[in-house]
Amino acid sequence: MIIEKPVPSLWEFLFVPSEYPISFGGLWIVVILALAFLTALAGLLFSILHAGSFGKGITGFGSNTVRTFADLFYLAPSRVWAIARLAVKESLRRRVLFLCVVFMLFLMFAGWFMNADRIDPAKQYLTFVLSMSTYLILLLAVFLSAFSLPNEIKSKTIFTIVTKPVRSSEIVLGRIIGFTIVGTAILVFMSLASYAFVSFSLQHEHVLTMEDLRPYEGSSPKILDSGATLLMVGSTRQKNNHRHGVEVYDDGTVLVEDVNNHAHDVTVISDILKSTGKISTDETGGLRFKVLPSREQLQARVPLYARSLVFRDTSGTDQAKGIDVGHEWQYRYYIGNFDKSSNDAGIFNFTGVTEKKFSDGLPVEMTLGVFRTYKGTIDKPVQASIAVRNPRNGLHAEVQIFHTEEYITKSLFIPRKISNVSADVVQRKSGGLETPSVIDPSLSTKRDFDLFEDFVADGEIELWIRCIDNQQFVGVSQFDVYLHEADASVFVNFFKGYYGIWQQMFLLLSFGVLFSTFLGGPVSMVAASGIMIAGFCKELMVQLAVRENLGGGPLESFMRMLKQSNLMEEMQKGMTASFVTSADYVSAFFLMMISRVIPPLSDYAYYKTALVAGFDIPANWIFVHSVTTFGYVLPIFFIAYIILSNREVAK
Amino acid sequence: MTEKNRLFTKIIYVVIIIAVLLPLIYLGSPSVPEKNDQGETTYSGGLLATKLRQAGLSDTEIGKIDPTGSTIQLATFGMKGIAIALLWHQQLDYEKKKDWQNVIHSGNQIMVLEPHFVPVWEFLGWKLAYNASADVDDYRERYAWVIRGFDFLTRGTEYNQNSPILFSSAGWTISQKIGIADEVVEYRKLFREDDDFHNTYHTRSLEERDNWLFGIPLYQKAEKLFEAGYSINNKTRLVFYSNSRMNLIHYAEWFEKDGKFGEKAKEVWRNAETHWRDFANLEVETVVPDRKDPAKKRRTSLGLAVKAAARKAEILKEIESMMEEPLRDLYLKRWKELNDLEKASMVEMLTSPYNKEPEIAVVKTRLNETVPDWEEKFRKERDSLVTEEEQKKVRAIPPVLRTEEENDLAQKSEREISQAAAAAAQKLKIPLQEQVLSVSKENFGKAEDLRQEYETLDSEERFSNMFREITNYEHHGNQCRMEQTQEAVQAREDRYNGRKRYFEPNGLFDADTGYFNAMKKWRELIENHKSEYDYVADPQFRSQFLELVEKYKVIRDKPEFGGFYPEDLPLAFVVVYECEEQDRVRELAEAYQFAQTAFGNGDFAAAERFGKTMSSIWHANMENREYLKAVPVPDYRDAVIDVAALYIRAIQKTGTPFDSQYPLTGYLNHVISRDPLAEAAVRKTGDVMMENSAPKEGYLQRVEEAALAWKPVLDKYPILTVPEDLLVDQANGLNSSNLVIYRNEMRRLARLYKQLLSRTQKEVPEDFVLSGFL
Repeated sequence: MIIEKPVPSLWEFLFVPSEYPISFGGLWIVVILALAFLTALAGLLFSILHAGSFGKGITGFGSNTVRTFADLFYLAPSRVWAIARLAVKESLRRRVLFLCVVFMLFLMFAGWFMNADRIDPAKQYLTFVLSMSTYLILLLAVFLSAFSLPNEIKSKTIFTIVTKPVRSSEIVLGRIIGFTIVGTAILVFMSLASYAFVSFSLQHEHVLTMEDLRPYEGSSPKILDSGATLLMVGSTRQKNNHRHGVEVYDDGTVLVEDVNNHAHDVTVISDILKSTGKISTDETGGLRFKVLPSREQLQARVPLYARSLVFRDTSGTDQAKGIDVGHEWQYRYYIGNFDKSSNDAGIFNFTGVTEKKFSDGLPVEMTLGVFRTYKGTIDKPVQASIAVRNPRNGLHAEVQIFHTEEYITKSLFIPRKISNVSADVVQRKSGGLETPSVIDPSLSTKRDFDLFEDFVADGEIELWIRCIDNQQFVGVSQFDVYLHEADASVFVNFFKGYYGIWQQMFLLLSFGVLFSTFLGGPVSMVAASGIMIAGFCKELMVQLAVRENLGGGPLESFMRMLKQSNLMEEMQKGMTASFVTSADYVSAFFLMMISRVIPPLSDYAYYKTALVAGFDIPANWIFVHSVTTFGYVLPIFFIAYIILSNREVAK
Repeated sequence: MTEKNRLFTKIIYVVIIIAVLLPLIYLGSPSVPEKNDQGETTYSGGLLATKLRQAGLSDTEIGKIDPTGSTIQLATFGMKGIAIALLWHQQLDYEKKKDWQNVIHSGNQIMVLEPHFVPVWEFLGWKLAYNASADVDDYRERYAWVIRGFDFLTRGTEYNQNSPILFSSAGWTISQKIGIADEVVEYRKLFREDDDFHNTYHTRSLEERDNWLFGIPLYQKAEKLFEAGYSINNKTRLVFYSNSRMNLIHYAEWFEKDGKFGEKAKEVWRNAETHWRDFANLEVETVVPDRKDPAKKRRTSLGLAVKAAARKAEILKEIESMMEEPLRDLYLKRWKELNDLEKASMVEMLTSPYNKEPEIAVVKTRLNETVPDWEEKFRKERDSLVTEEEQKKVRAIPPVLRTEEENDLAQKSEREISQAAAAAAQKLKIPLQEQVLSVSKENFGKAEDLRQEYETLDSEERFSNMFREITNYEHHGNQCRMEQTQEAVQAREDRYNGRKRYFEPNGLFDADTGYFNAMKKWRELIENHKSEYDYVADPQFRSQFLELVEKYKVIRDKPEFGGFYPEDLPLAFVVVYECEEQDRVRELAEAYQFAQTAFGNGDFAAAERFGKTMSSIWHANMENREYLKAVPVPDYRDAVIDVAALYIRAIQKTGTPFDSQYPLTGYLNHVISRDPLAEAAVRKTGDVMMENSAPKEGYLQRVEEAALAWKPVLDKYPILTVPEDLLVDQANGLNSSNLVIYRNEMRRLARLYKQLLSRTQKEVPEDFVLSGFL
C-alpha cells in the first residue's frame, strides 16, 4: 500500500516532536492555552468596555468566568440526554431516514456505471460505496447541524428550552450527541448495505470444462511438493472480462491463477479420483469441474512494516536515499546494478519478528518498481534477490532470486530452515562506523541455517533487496516490502473504515453546531460546507499558502486569466507585478492561518489507503485520528458554549 | 390583504407563469422523431432542438445516448464543469503516482460527464495506450494496456459516431502501437492469440487477426465521415488518407516476416500497390488557402506532380520550337559573353554530377567537344582569383585536413568564388519569360499563354511534390513493385529461413547459407531490374541491403567462421557505392595524397597531424558502418591501412610517443589477420620454428627468408613496431591480440636468428629486418 505520510504511534504522536519543534500533543496544549488566553483577554476587554469602568469590568469578567466553569462542572448527563433525545426526534421529524432510501437507490443503480469486468473491481466497488457514504453522511451532517438551532431561534421554540434550567453547555453537547446518534444509525445502515453490496457484486463464478484444457506438453514434468504431477493446462471461461489460468494435477489438485487480485477454488468431480485418489490420462475425457465463487477479492492483510529503509551504495556505505531515476513522484528510490559485484541494496530493518508470529518462516510480500536502462530481453523480467542479515553479527545469506513483477503484490516465503546456501559476514558502513566492528569468519562456514537462531537478533532482522540484472534498477520504498503477519477479519476492517467516516461526520456536526450558535441557518450551512470542502482540500490549501504551485496566488491567477497568459510565463516586472505579489503574500498568510484551523478531513480517509488496498487498518491510525478528532471537538464545544451562553436568546 | 386581493394576486401569478412557460416550450421542447408516409424520419421539436440538429450536435446524431451520463450530469446540479475539473486534477495526480487503474476509473467518470468532448477521448486513449503501457515492465501487461487504450477509443466512437478523428485514432493505436513497437513480434503474437479481443470485435477469421488489417476499416470509416463533411481539424488530409493504404503495405511486409511467401505474398503486395497507385488519383482539399480565392482551399493530388511535370516538359518543347533561335545556341552565345574568370569560377557547377540545369549540360557538352582539358584550365584560372597568399596556402590543403582557422580562411575565398560563379550562372540562364520574348511575333500570344500555364503547373507540381515527399509516395510505390518480383520474394524467404535456423541449435551454417543466398537474390534483382529502377542509387533501398550485410556480419563473427568474410560477397558493390556516396571518402583519398607529399617533403609534423586527423575520420566512418568491416572493399581497406602507416611513420620521425587511444588499432588488428602477406609470414615463421628442433641443411637461409617475409608486412603495418602495452583495441579495452601475436612471432624469429648467428660467432647485420625486435 502507498503510504506517503506515515502515521506515528500514539505515543510518538502525543509526545515526540516531528515536523514541529514540539509534539502534536504539546502543540495542542499550547494552542488551547493560547486560545484560552486570547479569549479571556477579549472577554476582559469586552467586560471593561461594557461595564464602563475598570473595576466593574474585572468584577463582571470574574463572575462570568466562575459561571462558565460552574456550567461546565455541573453538566448534568440527564439534561444532556434529554436534549440529545430532542435532537433525535427533530431529525426524525425532518425525515433524515430518507437518506437511507437515497443510498439504496444509488446502490441499485450503481450497476449502470460500474462493471465488475473492470480491472480490480474490488477497488472500484469499495471506493464507490465509501465515497458515496462519505458524501451523503457529510451532507446530512451539514444540513442537520446548521439549521437546527437557527430554526429554533427563528420559530422561538428555543424559549421552551432556555426557560428551563438547562445550561448552554448542555444544549450544545446535547445537540452534538443527538445528531451524532442519528448520523451513526444511518452510517451503520449504510455500512451494512455497502458490505452486502460489495460482497454480492464481486461474487462470480467461471465455467471450466474439458474443452478448455489441453494435455501438458512441457519438456520436463511438473511435480508439486506433494508428488502430484501436472496433467493438463488451460483456462476457465471468461467472466467479468477476465479468465484464470488453470493447472490440473493427477491427484485432483487444481491450481488457479491469481487474476485481478483473486482466485477460485476448483473441485474435480470424478469417480475414479474418489476411489483411487488419482486421475489418469485415460480418464481425463470424463472429468467435470466445479468452480467455486471467487475468494480473496476482499482482504484485510495485517502487515509488519520495516522500521526503517536504508540504501547501500556502490561503495557499501549506507545512504538515506537510493538512486533517483527522474520520476516526478519520488515515492520510490531505486537500487541499481552496475557490475557483477554490485554492493547496491535496499536494507529493510524489521523489528518485532518473533517465532510466535512467524513459526514456519517469513511470508514476505512486496510491490516493486522497475526501471530499465536498456530493453534487454523483452520477455525476460528483471531479476532481483532477497537476502537475510543478522543486524548484530552481520551474518548474511542470499536466500532467493526472483523475477520482479511491477504493480502486482509479489509473495515470497523465506522458510524457517534455510538449507544449502552460502553465507558471509557483511559489514554495514554508516557515518564512518562499521557494523559489526569485528567479523567472526566462523559464522559463514555453515550452509544450513535456522532463521531465528542465525538471523533474527532480539526480534530484529534485515531483509536486503538487490537487483541482479546488470544496468537495471529496482525501485522500493519503506512500505513496499512487508511481512504478512496475519489476515484480519474483512468484516471488522470494513467497519474500521466506516469509523473514519464517522469521525469526519462527528467533526462536521460539531462545526455545524458551533456555527449555528451565532449564524443563521443558511449561513451556517455555507460555513460548515466550507469547512468540509476546505478539509478535503487542505493539502491544496497548504500548497497555495506556501506558494508551491505555479501561477501565483489568487490575484496573480486572476490577472493571468484576464491576460490569458499561461502558468509558466513570468509576470512582467513593474508596479503591478509588485502589488499583485504583495497582495498574494497577504492572502497566502491568511490561507495558512485558516489551513491550520481546518481539520484535515482527507487524512481521515485512511480507508481509501488501507481498506481499498486490502490491508487491515492498524490500531495506531485509529487511536491517533481519534485523538485528533477529540482534539478539535473539545475546543469547538467550548467555543460554541461560550457563544451560546452570551447570546441574548440564551439569557 | 383582503381575500379578493389575495385571489387577484394568485391569478396574476398564474398568468405570469403561463406567459413565461409558452416561450420556454417553444424554445426547449425536445426533439421527437416521427416517420412520415414516405417512411422518412422527421423530427419535431423546439428551437433549441432544431438548432442542435442543424449543427449536428444533438445527442441522437452525435452518438449513443447514455441515461447514466445524463443522470449523473443532472446530479451535479449544473456543476458539471467543476466536477470535471476536479476529476482532471485527480487524474493528473493518479498519473503522477502511476496509479493507472484509477486513471482509467477517473477517465470513465470524466467521460460519463462529458461524452461528446472528442479531444478528451483521444487524449485519454493515447495516455493509456502509450504512457501507461510504457510504464509497465512485463510485455504482456504492456500489451494489455495498449488494448485498454484501444477499447477506450472505440468506446468514444460509440458516443461520437461522427468523429473521424476518433476512428482514425483508434485505427492508429491498434495499427501503429502494436506494429512499430520494439516488442512488435511479441505483441503481434499476443494479438493473434487474443481470443477475448477478437470475440469482442467479431474478427471474422484467423487471417484477419493482424493489427494492420484490423486498423483499415477504422481508417476507412474515418475517411467516409470526413467525406461526409465532418472535420478532422488541421490534420494533413493526404496523410490522413494515406493511413489505410500504408496499413496494406505494412501488412504485406509482415506477411513475409511471418514466414509466408510465394504467390500469396505477391498477391498481397499487388493489392497494396494497387491501392497505393490509386491513392495518387485522389484529389483532396488541403488546409492551404487558394492564392486566387483565399476563401477556398487549394486542392491537390499525389499524381498531379507527375502530370504537371509531363505537361511542363511539353510546354517547354513547344515554346522552344516557336523560338526564332534554338535555345542551345542562345546558351552558347551567353557562354561566349562571359569572361574567362567568370567561366573559370563555374568549374564546380560544370563538374558536379548533381547539377541538371539545361544550360550547364549544353555548355559542358560543348566544352568536352572543343576543349578536352577545360577542367584543369578552369581550376587554375579559378585559383588565380585568390590573390592573398594565406588564402592560397590554405586552399591548397584538402578540406578534411584543415584546422578550424584554416577552414574559416578558405571558406572566405570559397565564398567569393561561389558568389562569382552564381553571378555567372545567372547570366547564363534564360528564364522562360525571356524564351517567350524571343519567339516569333505571330506565336507570341500562344507562347505567353503557355508560359502562364507553365507557371501554374509549376506551382501545382511543387505543391503536390511536397505531399509526395511527406507521404514518401515514390519510395512506397517502388517498394511495392520491387517486392512483387520473384527475386525479392525469394530473397525474403532465404533470409527468413536463415534467421530461423540461426536461433536453432546447430543451425549456424544453414543461417550463413540463407543470408548469403538472400544477398545473391538481391543482387540479381538489382541487376535484372536496373532499367526499371536503380535500387542501389536510392538511399532507402540501399540501407535495406546494407542492413542485410550487417546481419550477415553477425553470423560471420561467430567463432565457427572465425570472423572471415567471403571475398565474393554478393552485395559488396552496394557497400562500395555507399562509400563513394560519402564525400569524406573521396576527400580522404585526396587528403592522403597531400599528406604523403608533405611526408615526402620532410614536413613530418604536418604529416603527423594529417595522419591523426584522417585516422579519426576513418574511424568515425567505420564506427557507424559495421558493413565496412564485413565487406572486404580492398580500396578502402587499403586506404585505411595506408593512413595508419603514414601516421606511424610520421610519429617515428617526429618522436611523438604512440597514443594508446589511437582509433585505428582495432581495425588494423582485425584486418592484419586476414592479410595474405601476414599469413604467409606467420606460416614461414611457424615452419622454421618447428624445424628448430631438428634443423636441416640450409636452415639459416630459411630463417633469413622467413625474416624477409616480414618486411612487406612491416612496411604495410608499421604499427607492429609499437610496444604491446600501447596496442589497445578501443572497442573492447583489451590488447589487440593479433598484433601482439605477430610481434611475438617476429621477436622469436629475431632471437632465433641471433642465436644461430652467434653459434658461428657472427653478429646480426644492422639492416636485419627484425633488428628492432631484438
